[in-house]
Amino acid sequence: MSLYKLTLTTILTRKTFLIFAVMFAILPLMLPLLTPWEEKPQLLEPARAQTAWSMLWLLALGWLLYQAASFGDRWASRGVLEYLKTLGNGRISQLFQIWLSCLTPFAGFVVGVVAICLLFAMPADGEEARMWVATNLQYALLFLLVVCPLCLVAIALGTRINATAAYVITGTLAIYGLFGIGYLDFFLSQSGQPVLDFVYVISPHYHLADLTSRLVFKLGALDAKTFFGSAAYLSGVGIVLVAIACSLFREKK
Amino acid sequence: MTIGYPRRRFHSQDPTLRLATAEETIQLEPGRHLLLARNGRGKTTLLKTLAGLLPAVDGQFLVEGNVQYVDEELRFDPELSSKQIFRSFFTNGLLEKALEFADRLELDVKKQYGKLSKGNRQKVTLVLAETNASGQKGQVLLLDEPFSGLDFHVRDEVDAMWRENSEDVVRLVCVHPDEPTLQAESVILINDGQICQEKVDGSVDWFETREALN
Repeated sequence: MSLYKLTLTTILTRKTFLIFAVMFAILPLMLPLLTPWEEKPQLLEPARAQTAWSMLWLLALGWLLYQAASFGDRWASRGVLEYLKTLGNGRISQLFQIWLSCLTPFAGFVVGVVAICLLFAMPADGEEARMWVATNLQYALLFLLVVCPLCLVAIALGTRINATAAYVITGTLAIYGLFGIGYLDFFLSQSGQPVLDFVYVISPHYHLADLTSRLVFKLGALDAKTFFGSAAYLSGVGIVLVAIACSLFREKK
Repeated sequence: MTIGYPRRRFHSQDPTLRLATAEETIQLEPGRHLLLARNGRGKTTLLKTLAGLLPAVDGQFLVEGNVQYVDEELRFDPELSSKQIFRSFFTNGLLEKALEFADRLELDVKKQYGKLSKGNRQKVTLVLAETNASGQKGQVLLLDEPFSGLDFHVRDEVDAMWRENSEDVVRLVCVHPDEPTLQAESVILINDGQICQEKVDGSVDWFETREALN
């Protein structure tokens, strides 16, 4: 686990995560207060949840993916992966060690966001509160099913091309899966072209993992069939991305 | 065995690049062996082939033991201190050993890696390699230009460390032919596309080496 320790030590030494930790501790509680919330005070709590989850998406797409891509790039170009290979660390083990070290501090943010939602945005009504907890847990799981495989791809691409390019590719894929597909769906309903239809089918539907609107409008948790269907679909996309990452990863540029 | 770069999988028009061939069997016993050749003759390629990082173009070789290939270009994150780097690789007894080696080489382990001079960065790499090799039997160290940037005092200290831990450790050391510290059990020369071994009696004669490589 030398590579895991080395990468995690580097992340912890840089301390950028501390800046984000402070932002996560303050902004979800502060930003909703900058709106005219007095007109409808019951919106304050869902607004906290919305801020916290939106910040987590931003952190994943901005910080996590860039960290992953840059570690792939850095360790491959500086000979660290090659050195560890001669010490007996296989390719796949190296890939997952870097992945785990990037996700270790990030997991703290996921737990933190769920904690913010449960401590500072929990509805008072018992049934609503139960639904609130379930929605947040469903959200956390679906979110991780999107982010974890993308992180692997960013690392693997980083070992082949430079960090910025690897980050842009993975980030674009994530943004397309979250928002771009909505536009594609719109064009598809207008034109009905079979090519667009095919692109729509093969695209990663990451928007399925975005349950922010369910929290904001208190729509309740996903029913079991929809939740397990979304989880199975995102797991399938994840398996494809893991396979791509494993085949792309290499020890030396 | 022939070293070089095989034809790339999807580039069938690219020829296989053959750098050098060992016609006779070469055997390296525990101890220090120097790898000498002029620039671009295949020193690093030979080390990488033996480390399993590159395939041999032709022929066979056998490495018995735990291999470490230590690249001259191995670098770490500039914000980490040497101590943090050692902590990532070693725990308990081995960490103490690494710090002891670092102390012998006069390496400031608290200083950030990015602020270390080239020679001091080289010391970090050497400490890693030596600590990994210490206390375990059957170690094979393939060292690519380990002395670059080191002053004579540190070279002597490295020399002493290697003598203390020479049992069951094979060190194949790629050095520049002009290197003044040329003590070894044997010399592997790459010249005119041939890899050959010459037994030496303790130290290598600088003028003879130069003649042999020209």
